[in-house]
Amino acid sequence: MIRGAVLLCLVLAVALGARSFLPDDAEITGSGATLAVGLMLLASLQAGHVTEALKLPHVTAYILAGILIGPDVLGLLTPAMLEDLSVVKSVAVGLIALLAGCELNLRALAPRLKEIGLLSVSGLLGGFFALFAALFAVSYLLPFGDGMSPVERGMVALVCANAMCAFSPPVVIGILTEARSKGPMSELWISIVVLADIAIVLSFSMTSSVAHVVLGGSSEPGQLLGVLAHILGSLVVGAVVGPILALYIDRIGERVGLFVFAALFVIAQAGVPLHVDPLLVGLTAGLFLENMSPVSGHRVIEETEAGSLPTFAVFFALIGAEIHLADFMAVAPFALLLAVSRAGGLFGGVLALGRVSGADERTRQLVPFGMLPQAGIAIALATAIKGTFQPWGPQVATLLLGTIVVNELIGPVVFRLAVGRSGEAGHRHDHPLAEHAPHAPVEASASPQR
Amino acid sequence: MASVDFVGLTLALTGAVALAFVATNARVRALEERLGLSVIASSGMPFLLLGALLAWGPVGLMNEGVLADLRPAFEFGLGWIGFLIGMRLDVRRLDEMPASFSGVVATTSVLPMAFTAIVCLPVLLWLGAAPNDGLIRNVAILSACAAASAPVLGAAASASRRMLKEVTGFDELVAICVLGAVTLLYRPDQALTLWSLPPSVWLLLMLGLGALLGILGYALIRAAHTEAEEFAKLVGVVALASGVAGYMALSVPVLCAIAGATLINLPMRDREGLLETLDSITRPLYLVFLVVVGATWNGLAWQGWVLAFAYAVARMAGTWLGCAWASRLDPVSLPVPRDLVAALAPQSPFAVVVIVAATTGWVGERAVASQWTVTAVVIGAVLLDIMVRPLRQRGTSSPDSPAVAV
Repeated sequence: MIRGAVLLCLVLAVALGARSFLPDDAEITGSGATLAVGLMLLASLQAGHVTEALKLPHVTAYILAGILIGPDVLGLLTPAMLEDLSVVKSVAVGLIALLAGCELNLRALAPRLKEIGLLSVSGLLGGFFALFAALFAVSYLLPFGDGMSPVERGMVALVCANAMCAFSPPVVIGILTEARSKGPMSELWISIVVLADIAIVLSFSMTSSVAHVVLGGSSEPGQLLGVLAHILGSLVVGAVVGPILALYIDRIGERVGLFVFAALFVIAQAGVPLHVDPLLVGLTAGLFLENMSPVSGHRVIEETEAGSLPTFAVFFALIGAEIHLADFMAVAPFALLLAVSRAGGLFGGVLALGRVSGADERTRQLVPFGMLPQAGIAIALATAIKGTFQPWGPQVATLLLGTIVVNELIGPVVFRLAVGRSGEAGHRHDHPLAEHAPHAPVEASASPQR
Repeated sequence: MASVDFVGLTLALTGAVALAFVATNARVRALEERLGLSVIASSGMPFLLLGALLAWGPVGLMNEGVLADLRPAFEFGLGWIGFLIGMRLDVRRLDEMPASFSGVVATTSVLPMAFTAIVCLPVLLWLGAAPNDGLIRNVAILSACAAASAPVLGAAASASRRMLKEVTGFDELVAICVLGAVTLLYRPDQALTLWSLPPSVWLLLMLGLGALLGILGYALIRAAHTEAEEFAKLVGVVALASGVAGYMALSVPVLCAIAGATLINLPMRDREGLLETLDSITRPLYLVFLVVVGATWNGLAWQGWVLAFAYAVARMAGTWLGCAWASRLDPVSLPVPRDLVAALAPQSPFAVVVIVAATTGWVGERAVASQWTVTAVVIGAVLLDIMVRPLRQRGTSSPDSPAVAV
């Protein structure tokens, strides 16, 4: 831990020295995005070593490292740097979804589809009603609700509760990967968070359309169609990317990991103008590889493993760096209240309504832990509320983002504990080479030479 | 950026990536050799031309905005290649070299540099380059490019082959040194920055920073728990070194080469494995890098083609003389002069990295002549390959024939 902390300080010192060369607003040699990537990668990996001793998950360490070096604390990363790295986020989301798809063998999951569906619905319903009630109450305490009728407050609570139900497939998959967890519970967690997030995105488009009408904003009748087109388009692109990847892996088979990353980069670049979601594209492609192609999804997981770690580390550090601490502190008590309500709703829903799914009690106790972490999609929906609904949108978005911060920080820690309790941690042994560090000192290695 | 730009960029990147992967396929490379296309392919010409096509007015897919978006990846690519070059400098291997080694390196790298400077300076003046507009800088960079010979590939089966491999590796380091010196002498306006230091202090700073990053990389990699973490840290160290260099207007490949050289010379097991890790993604990275270079390349200026011819002839003459001299210094360890020329005359792909690093790192208004130098090095590589082809066909020790290693 001490060595990790010393190395972390050295990395920060180098970056601090370099950053002192230019004034913050100067850009004579670009924005310094390369510096930001190196700094985020090394700082987050070293933070992982430091927090390992504290039994905290690496994902939390990456997020904390991002907060530390981000604009609000040490200021080593500037907003311009973060903006330039948005493509990294898209690549990471695509990769995470691809790996999730490669993990999901639908044939194996088919007997459990009813269980997955009912557990998802029960968690979502519990979380939604708890959040709705909390948001409705908070609207009387915070300025954004001033002058609103009860119906209007209800609509605000409806839209926001819908957005705040979102889970975080990247965090869940990241922690399961870190814990090398494999088994029915792990598959259940991945299936639920992935499928439920798709449902949340769809339902959000509907609730926000209704809210537009009720709250007197500009109604956009084509909005729902737009969202459907976006989802269908993403699925179609994923259905094209999957066979391309399968063909490459099957016929050429060289530098597979690099090819996958190159494809994800192209998808990330195309995502904005084509309204294609890298998450859905990656997921569809992954599902195709694992379930329909002659190529095993696990081959993709193995081939991309070397590149996955740096991608995940930078992605989660970016999420941390984008947290605005000052905004969070302003709404911290209410954000905490919403986070607790959400957690209570999720647990209550799954424990009470989940009985109909046929899942045993232990499963029902563990499932909600995977629903606690929040990140990308929740942030995207909160940002959509901020930009769409005036004048209350920006004020509510601050509250929602504060709640996401709480879930970002606490969710992974709690979920990692649940993974340990599930008994599936350490059951994945399909990458034996990755267990070794060939350049480690001799005494640290089991074998004397390689 | 407009939507159409994004779509265009997507198509462009798809094309570049597809081409890069096709070109790195073993069967395609074997076909290139069989059809005699390796001369053009080894210079990366198809990728440069693709970049130029994508940036061409009516197509206009890789415009200024897109290139600015790609700058971080471009900087990282420069750093990765520089790091690899530095990591080839394992001083322990020098102990195995004959005493004549330093003399051979000096003659085979300094003479082509000197000839290039002597020929290209008056040619540039004749072409209309202004003496007070970066003339010396351009000549120095062209000389640096002339120093780098294409690495000799394959196993070091014989003593002469081993010697050639080391010589070509050191030639690239000479080029790195000249590039570093140029970057230190031509710093950005100090009024724009918060530091005001003389070039000598910048030199110390660059050496110290490079060494520090190498030591830091070593400590980080040693502390890695898994191979995946090791790779992640390697990427992180290269990105940090590239970013620090770019941010401080130092030469990215030079700083990364110093860091790489420091790292490889610290006590570490499985150095070859680490080099292989770097090498495994260098070629696709280099080929995509060439597409970006092609997009900024103005190959239509006739002055560039004239300079390319002068550059190729000067480099060939310098190499010939250097090889003849080197063969006298060590007639035992080296092949006969003609084979030595055939091995060392082809220009290293790293020369393109040098010229691009120098021109993109240019702070302030860039001299028109700097565009001509890019053409000179790019086209010069093809001309040199063509010039050396008859020598290779008549050569006696074909196993020593070089090939692209980047």
